[in-house]
Amino acid sequence: MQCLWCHEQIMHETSWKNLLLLDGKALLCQECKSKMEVLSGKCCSRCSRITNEEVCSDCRWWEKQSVEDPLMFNHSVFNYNAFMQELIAKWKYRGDYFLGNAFKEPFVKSFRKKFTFLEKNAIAVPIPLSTKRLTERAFNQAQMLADFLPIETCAILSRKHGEKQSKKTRYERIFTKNPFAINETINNPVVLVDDIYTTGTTLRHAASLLKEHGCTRVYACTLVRG
Amino acid sequence: MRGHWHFIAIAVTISFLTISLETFWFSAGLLIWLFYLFYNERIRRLVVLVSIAFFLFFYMYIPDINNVTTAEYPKEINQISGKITGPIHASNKKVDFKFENPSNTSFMIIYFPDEKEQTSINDHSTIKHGAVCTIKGEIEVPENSRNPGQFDYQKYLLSKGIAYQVKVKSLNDINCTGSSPLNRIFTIRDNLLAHVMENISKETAAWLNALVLGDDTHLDEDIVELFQRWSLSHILAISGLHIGLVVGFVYFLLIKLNLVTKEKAQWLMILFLPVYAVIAGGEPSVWRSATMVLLFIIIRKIRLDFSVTDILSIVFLLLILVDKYIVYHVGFQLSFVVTFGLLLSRQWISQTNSALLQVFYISFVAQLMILPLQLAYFYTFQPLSIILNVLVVPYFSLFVIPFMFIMLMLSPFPIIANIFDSLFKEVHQIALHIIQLIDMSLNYPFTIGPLPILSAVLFYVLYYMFMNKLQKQKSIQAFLFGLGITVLVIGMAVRPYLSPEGRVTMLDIGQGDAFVIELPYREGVIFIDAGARFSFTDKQPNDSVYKQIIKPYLFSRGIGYVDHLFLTHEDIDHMGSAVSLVKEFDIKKVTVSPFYAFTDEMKPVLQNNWIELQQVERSDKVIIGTQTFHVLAPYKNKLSANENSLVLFTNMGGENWLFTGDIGKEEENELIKTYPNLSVDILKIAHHGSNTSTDESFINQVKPLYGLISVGRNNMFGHPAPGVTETLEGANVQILRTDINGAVQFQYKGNNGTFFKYIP
Repeated sequence: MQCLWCHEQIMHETSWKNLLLLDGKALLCQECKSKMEVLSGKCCSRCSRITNEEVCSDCRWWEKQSVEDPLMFNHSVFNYNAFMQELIAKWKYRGDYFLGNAFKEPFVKSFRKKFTFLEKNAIAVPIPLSTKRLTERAFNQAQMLADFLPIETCAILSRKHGEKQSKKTRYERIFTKNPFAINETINNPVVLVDDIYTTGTTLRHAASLLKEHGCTRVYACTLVRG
Repeated sequence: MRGHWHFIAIAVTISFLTISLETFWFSAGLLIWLFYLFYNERIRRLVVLVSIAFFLFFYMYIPDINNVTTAEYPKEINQISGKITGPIHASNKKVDFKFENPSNTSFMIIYFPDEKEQTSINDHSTIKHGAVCTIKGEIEVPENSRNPGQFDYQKYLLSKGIAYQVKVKSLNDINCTGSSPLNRIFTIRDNLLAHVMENISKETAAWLNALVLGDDTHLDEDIVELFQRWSLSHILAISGLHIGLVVGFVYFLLIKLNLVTKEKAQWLMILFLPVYAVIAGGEPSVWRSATMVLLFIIIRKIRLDFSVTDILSIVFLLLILVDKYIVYHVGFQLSFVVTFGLLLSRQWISQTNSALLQVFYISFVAQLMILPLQLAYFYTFQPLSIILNVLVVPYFSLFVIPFMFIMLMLSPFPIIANIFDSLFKEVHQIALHIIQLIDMSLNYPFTIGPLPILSAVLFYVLYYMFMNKLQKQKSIQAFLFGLGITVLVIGMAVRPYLSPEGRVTMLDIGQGDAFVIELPYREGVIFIDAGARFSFTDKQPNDSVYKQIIKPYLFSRGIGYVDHLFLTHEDIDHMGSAVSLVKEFDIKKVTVSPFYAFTDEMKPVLQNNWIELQQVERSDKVIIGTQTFHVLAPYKNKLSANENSLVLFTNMGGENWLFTGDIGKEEENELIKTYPNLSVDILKIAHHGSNTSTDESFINQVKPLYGLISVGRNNMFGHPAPGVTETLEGANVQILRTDINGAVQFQYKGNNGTFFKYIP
């Protein structure tokens, strides 16, 4: 089995950890895996940003914007380092759908660890792509991540087509109009799923829309913290 | 298959366990494990099938040495012809080698140099590896163990595929021609060994030969024992440490001195390694590490990628395929178990950056990996050896071993060599002194004896979980499993203190007495006599009985301390091992008769070891725990050791026992006169069954059910005397004798006990 990223032979190193039960099938080699930097240590409790503060300045700003931040918190698994950028670019923009499977194990593991408190009826809602973008990319990366999770996935949001988020400035991103529409109302707790949390605007747009339509609590689980 | 070779190695290990432990539970476990992994898509079908195939093949291939009965070799044949198939081990005490006849029966040829016959192996240069020879000598079945815990020479030779031994009276009885190509390398080795002995001081040469050429015969016996005691023997056995240094050193020289290209240097290493393995003595640990390095170089060359555990597993299989008996080799087992453990721990060890901690981790893993094996083979371990290893291993690997290689290179230049030599001696003496100091002050061995199989399995399960949690950095869980291991080991150590079973053992020490009484709940370990063999020339006891029989027995029973020693009288066959016993087993009390005269050797030992000396005579009592020994004799000095023998009466396991030392008929008569109601169930027959004792009237009066005779096989006194056995048989006394039954053991609980013969 070759590494999905560097195409080197994946060498199975036997240790006390995997002697008896063995690891699952590895998609990345040890070296590439080690370049994926799991967020740990001191992070903002609201948005997973690396900071020494309990709540980072961004999140405090968000709190002041309305009566209540629509998002309970965002949990991100990885730091958006150069390697993750390349990995995600290949997966998302260059259409390497299968590469996304490399995220499954750490993503699910991290989700299980963070969201232990979650009720069974919680629902994963992926951040949608506009129809145009979806035809362009052929798959929704958020949908793929949401499907990994051990809870039910409902794609109840849709999106009007607009400029790519990544092409906008920070200011433009924060003050854009809500691009989402809701297709179906639910009142279960929701975990929004997306690949990247950068400013948090997208997720908060989606969150506030969901709350307006009766959701009690909205969380976010994202692959990387930009 | 890549990354999965260890499955095959584990399957083969389980074939071996199935054969040697005679149980199928391990193979059942293997099957469940393989199918579980297959079912969960962790391994492919190929791995399962190959593992099972290897298991079955090796189950048929590995010889079973448990159930072999060797028939006596036809008596009329005293000459064999065949080929020398093993290296020739020659020292000034012994020459031996493996020999195979055309019908594939293997013999161990042994020659003990006679002091008169000053022939050395050098005068018999035709005795070479691979030579075709005819050998004259008595062909016999090797001696098997006659006592619990005793080294079984017969089994040992069987584990090397050797069925018979031939003791040769003179090297002239060996006539050989020819040799094998391998003999050249053996000759190089012999020449190197001799060269070192000639050119370097004796002290340094002993270490050089041990550490570079794998010959530790010149090392001080005390040092070898000290290293054994502290689990440091792996330093003396050439293994990965040494091979790594040699390979690194030679490779570095070749490259840095621009002698050859890297490419060629690698080829040279491939050629050099097997040669060095033979020169270094060819022990399994040498072959293991040399073959591993060899495979690594080859695999790199052909650009294949195997994991390290794969390489280790492949080497494991290769070595067994070359020599199917190697799996029984203790060094082979230890070497692979330790290496496997260390490879599994690589990720954990690399979690720390501190070199000191890493050395500690390595030492820790190595010592724990082999603990059950260590206890099975040596019965004891030093908990503090982990720490001593941390000190000693770096000293040897960074200083002594590299230095020894440099010394070997320099040995042709006497002036420089001498400077290095004296430098080394200075440093090494201090180092050894420190180790000896530690040995004297921190010697707290755990004598447990072999673990039962279930405990050993439990140990490895707990250890696996412990390491697993440790690697995952789950400290609390790891701590709990570590605690579990500690509880298990301590539980095994205190087990005898909780057992209601008592044992009385008549050890077979040849012509002499040694009785060990282990009271229930380990209330006391008592010796009645501890004899030794002695040479007739100087009448001095030698320590072979103590070292080969008494000490191994005590260790195998998990006995590290002896409470009490009764010495019936001062003959060597009754007290020759007492000095060693007192020194090593921390005896608290020695009981003798008032007429006992201690030897000059014994007196200072008794004083220096804070031993309470007790003199008793008729009608005294000695109480040990809840056990009471009544002293029935002597009551006056009879001016003769035998007749002054202490006579002890006690009740164990609901039976009355009488220990009579070497008393004669007159004393027996006095006993029944003084104690007319004396009734004995188990009688130690006095004086090894000599006709000077065991009077019919005495037997008829005390009416024993069993008579214990401690007597040497084919002894020169003709003991037991036919008259004595007739008397006993006439009185319906069941006779148990060490010359026929080996050690005789009485195991009891409460008032019930049973006799067990070691040789049924």
